[in-house]
Amino acid sequence: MASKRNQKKNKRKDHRRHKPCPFCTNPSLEIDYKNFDLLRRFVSERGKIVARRNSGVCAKHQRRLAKEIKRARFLALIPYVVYIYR
Amino acid sequence: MAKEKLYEMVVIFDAQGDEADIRREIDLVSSLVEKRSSEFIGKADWGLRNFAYPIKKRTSGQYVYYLFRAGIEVPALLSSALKMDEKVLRYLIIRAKSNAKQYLEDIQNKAQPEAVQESVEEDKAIAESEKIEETSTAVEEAESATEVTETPSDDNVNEEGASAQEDSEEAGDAEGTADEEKDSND
Repeated sequence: MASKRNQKKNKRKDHRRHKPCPFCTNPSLEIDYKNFDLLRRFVSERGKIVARRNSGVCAKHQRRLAKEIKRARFLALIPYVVYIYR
Repeated sequence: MAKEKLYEMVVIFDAQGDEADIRREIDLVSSLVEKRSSEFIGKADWGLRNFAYPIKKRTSGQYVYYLFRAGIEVPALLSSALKMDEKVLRYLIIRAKSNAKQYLEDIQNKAQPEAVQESVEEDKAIAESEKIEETSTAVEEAESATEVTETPSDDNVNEEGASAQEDSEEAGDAEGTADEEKDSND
């Protein structure tokens, strides 16, 4: 009985588990300002950097990602802001 | 000699005016880099690209990428020279990663044989899409679908400046849908 309960607990834990970091699972994805089409996936519709709680990126890669996104923005490869008119 | 390090530099030239003028300007900067650096590894022309936002009221510029090894005092010297240059809209000098040489070789190989280039790109796109499919979980299926559609553009955009804007719009749309899904999942 106890083991069943534990199983249930574990299951719930698993369900809440964080999304795997796309850069840790796939090392061939290179975080670089030159690779700005990849960076675009981690920028919102309005051009903001997506929080890692939403994108699932780990802390290490989020730091690099933020740096490279800012470099790409500086070179006008990706926008700082995207204005959306409704 | 002082410490030497690997640097990469991207310079955005003003694309207004004669093409010959722009070429001359690029050569001028190239010769400057060659003179200052201890080892000039190479340069790559990214071509005329549309900006994501206007710079000095220009909407597009000529991007050139340089890779070189130089003493630690050189970036400051180059920087002061480029600041004075009115034809240079913007520049970025940073320490290059170790794989920068590989990047330069890839881009130079791509630029030369056109027929080979296409097949390589296709292979790459297929390989990447496969990798992504492996890593994505069932929950992210829809998301990965947008990723797969985006990945082929990775290769194209680097050389084809003209089609960059279209690509960016597409990517933007796909990005938007992915975001919405994320929200709904939460």
